[in-house]
Amino acid sequence: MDFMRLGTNNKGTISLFKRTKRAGFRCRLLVVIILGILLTDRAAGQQSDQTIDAETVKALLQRVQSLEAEVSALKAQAHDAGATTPAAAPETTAATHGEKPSVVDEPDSHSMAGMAETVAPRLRLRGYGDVGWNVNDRKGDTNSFALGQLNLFLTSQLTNKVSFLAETIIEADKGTNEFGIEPERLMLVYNASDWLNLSFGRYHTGIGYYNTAYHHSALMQTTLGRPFLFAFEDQGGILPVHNVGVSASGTISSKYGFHYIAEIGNGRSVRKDGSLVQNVTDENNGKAFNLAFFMRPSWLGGSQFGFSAYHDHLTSPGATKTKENIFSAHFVYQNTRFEFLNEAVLMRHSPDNSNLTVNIPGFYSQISRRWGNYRPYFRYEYVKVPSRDPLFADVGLLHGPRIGLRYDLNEFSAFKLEYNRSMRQGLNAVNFLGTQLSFAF
Amino acid sequence: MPSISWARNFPSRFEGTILTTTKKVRGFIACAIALLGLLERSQAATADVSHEIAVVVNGGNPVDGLSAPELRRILLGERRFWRGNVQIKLALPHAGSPERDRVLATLLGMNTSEFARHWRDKVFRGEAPDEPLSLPSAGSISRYTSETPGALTFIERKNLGRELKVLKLDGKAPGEPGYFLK
Repeated sequence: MDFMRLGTNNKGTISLFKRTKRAGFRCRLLVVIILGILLTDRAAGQQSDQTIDAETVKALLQRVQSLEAEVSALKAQAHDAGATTPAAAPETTAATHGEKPSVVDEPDSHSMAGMAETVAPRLRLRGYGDVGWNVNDRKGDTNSFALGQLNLFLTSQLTNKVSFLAETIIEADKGTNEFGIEPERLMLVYNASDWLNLSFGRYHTGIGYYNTAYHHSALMQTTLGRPFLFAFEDQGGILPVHNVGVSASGTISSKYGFHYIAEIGNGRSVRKDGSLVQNVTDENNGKAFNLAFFMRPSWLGGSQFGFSAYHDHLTSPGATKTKENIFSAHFVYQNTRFEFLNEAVLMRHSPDNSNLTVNIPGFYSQISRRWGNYRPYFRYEYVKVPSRDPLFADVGLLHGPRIGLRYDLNEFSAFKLEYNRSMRQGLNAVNFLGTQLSFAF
Repeated sequence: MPSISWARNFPSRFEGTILTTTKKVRGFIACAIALLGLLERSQAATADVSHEIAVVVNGGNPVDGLSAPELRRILLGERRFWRGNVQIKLALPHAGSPERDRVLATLLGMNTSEFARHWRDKVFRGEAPDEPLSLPSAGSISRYTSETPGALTFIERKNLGRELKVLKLDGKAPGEPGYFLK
């Protein structure tokens, strides 16, 4: 009893029991917390794995179904290709079974080149179009719904290194409303290597940036229309935007992002009748040359700056024979959200048998930023053709701002709303308001 | 009969014994929990490594590794040939797959839509004949790579087959510390 009295009354014993109890409780609490954290992580991982697995399986099943249809079509194509494929079949078969064909036993670059693939032409057709409505305050003009260009963009891979590209445009004339069709680009492209690509046919001249970045698709460009400086010839543009000949391009240094473009072609015509692009017959034996260099530095991804120099001798009937030199410089920065384009051009006309040289400067600067599907933009452009220019004096001074909003309905269509004001020397300024729905199909 | 002094001392001795035992028990439990945690972490690390994405090429390709900037240039179509002028045949896991999303996000900072738009623009400008191939499964990726000279594609490490050649990225192979494509 003394013992029991001692056990119950002793402070040390009571404190011992309390401490032991507290220690045990803390221990159990610690274990529960840690186990809870570990189990939660495991459950979350299993759940996400299950979610990923289920989604992946579903996507794969859908993909398999679509591919089965494609394989059937390809088998039919391969059967038609006939004699060109049998030589490659033994090597293909060996690779499928995990054996390396003997030609690739030696680890050198020629081993891969020896296994040349034969590719049947694969034609792909993409389409672009636009429709819109516009109004301006120029006397005599009316507000109109307008069909834009219907662009049938064809590409075809003929062999591993040879491909074909064509951009065929169907559009109506502003004056007559009559439809016309024209292959604005038609090129056979040979990709020899990273430093040499050759295009034969009709191409967009490598003057500046805009002309080779944006072609005949309203969807691809941010704004409703092209800068006036790069307007197409048949829309009053003053630059030789198109050329027929040979264009070489390539990478001089991939480390520094240094590229070149070198072109030779028929050049342009300035005759009032007929096509302004010399598609079939050159008016003279001289050719137009263009040389451009540009850099896409990796330390400023999305940027490009460069310059170009173009020379031609224009000898169109009814026009003053004139030597033409065009110099351009550009700096652009583009990423998925932001765009800043700047280009300047100096065109120099020197009439034959004259000491006169006319300088025609022009530039534009465009900025835009995307917020969600909305992309507001602003551009200012300027062109000044002196009155003594032998070819384009009627253009005079043309400059003004352009402000608009582009809304991407989805990846393949966009709606644009734009206001611009065109100020011309000696003429009233023209205010223009236009909308455009551009799309791909 | 125990003495009173012993009885008086009993609680302290008993207390000491209990405390010692409690400490031992606590220590044992702590070790067990620590071991359990280490086991979990090692399993997670194994899972991370198996989800690393390998850059694979055709077995006949003499290239052993690429730098990240070079791989970016290839993905963007800025570089289209291996040394020896063999065309790079770029193939990616199909759109919507986690591997494709991770490759594009890690190397280019793009999502699938932005990448698709980049290549559509490239084809439109005539700088490339077609967009990169999209392949539906690891099996088709393996088959395409082993049969196509010049092929370059991406595949999760856990799906690697022996017939595929894996490139080092910035000098690191998948599974090595510092391999960043995961």
